[in-house]
Order: sequence, then C-alpha cells, then structure tokens
Amino acid sequence: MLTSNKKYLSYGFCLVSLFVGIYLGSVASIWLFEHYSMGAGREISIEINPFEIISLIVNVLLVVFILRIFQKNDDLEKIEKGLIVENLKKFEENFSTFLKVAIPKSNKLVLRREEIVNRMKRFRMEFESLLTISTQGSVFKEDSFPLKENISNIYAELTDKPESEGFLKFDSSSTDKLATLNYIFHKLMFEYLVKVIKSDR
Amino acid sequence: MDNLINISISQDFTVTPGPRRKVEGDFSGELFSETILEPAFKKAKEENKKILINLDGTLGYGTSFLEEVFGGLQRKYKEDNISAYVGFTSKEEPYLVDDINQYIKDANK
Repeated sequence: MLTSNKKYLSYGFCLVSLFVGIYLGSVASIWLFEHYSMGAGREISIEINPFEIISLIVNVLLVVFILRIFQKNDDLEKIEKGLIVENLKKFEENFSTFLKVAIPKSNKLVLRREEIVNRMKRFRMEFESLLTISTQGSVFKEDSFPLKENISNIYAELTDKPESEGFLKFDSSSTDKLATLNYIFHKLMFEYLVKVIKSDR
Repeated sequence: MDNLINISISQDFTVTPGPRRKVEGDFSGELFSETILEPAFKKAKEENKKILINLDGTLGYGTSFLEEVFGGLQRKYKEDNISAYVGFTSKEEPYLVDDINQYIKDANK
C-alpha cells in the first residue's frame, strides 16, 4: 500500500536529515572552533569531499521529490474516500425517502408496481456500484454482504406481492416487516460507513 | 453458438415485466413462461442445448415475476436440474443472477 511506503520514506527522509544535520553541525562547529578559539596549537582538520556533498544533496532532493509524489497520491486517496462516504450517505437518504413513500400506511397505496420496480432497479444498480468502489483497501467484500442482503430482502418484500390494477397489495405484516428491514438498513449502513471511514486509504 | 438458445426478455417479451400471474396484469411471469421459456426449455432438452437468458434492457423486475418464471419452471420440472439447461446474463444487474439461482434452489426444496 502507498501509505506504508510513504511511512518508510518519511523515516528515510528523517534519517538522511539527521545525518546531514550532524555533518553540517560538525563542520560548522569545527569552523567556529578554528576561527574563534583563543588557544594556540589547536587545529582540527576535516576533509570535505565535494563529490560526497553533492551526492548527499542529490539523495536528499530525491527523497523530497519521491515524498511529494506519494503525498499527492495520499491526498487523492483521501478525496476518493470522502467522495465514497458522501455518496453512501446520499444513497442512504434517497433510499430512505423512497421507502417512506413506497411502504403503504393504512393500506393506502401511493406507488404503482412499475414505479417501485423501476426505482428499486436504479437503487440496486447504484448501490452495487458504490460497493464495488468502496470495497478496496481494508474494506473487504465480505463487509458489504449484510448490507447487500438487507437491500435484497427489502426488494423481495417490496415486490413479491400480488397485484391489483397495477398496484401491489400489502398487508399489515408486510408493512411491519418492511419497517423492520428499513431500521436494519440504517443500522448496517452506519456500521459500513464507519468501516469505510476507518479504512486504510 | 449453435448449442445456445438466446432469449432476451426486453426484446423477445417486454421492457416492462409484469406481475406473477396472467390474471393480475399484462406481461406476467406466467405468460412469459408459457409462451417463451417453456417451449425453449423443451427444445433445449430435446436437442441438448442451453438457454441463455439476457436480463438487460427492461425497466426492472419484481421478485414475483422472476420467482414465477424460474422458480416456477423448477417446480414444474422437478425431476430436472434446470440450471443445467438455463443460464443468465446481465451487465446492468449482475446480482439478479444470484437472486434467480436462490429462487431455483428454494423451488427444489
């Protein structure tokens, strides 16, 4: 994963910075000692190889350059995660609004079968797409199964009904079951969102 | 392929699959089974072919339609494993294939 590579590189960068710091600090100290010390006969010599310095500077620049690339990728991953979470929340809101209208109250039917079936198709397609994108990194496909199964159950409970003049016929046990499934949907969605937010992206 | 019988529900039947039974409305699962699927199934058995059903292009399926068609076919031909003769494909809704396989499995019980 890019994130773990970035950690190693940042350690590498710190180490290189440390050595450069020690080296420059030593050179500066020696220079100061030689030029400003009052004692006679005190001489410390140190050989400075310009090629080594150039090599060191090049290595440091290389580390900084690579870090910047990984930093950019890290930012992109964070933006992607944010988008996924935002879209999952929007899906939850829209699906919930649809269920409020679709689930009849007091046997009063609002939506025709064709409309329910068409909307469920779009919701399931959208959800499938969101799951495909979100199950990467440390969010595994298995994490999405309970939520997927719940939506399948809602689909079955909503559409496996006898029909009269284009309207699906519900009874009180169906509406109760749908209300329960709706509650479970919100619970599972919350758990899934937490998994996505905590995921390694 | 010569050993495949291709059926597209949206092109060969309707883009608006209906309810379970003919008495409930148009383009029912029962009607699809009687007019399209069962004749194809008999032909597939006789000629040792496989039916490939394309589920794409419709405005959506109700569970009752799919269960009547595929669960109903398995209930009618209990001695056969209809999965050996009928396959499904969907780019729009690949999860429907899992749903249908479950209906067939439940119908076998």
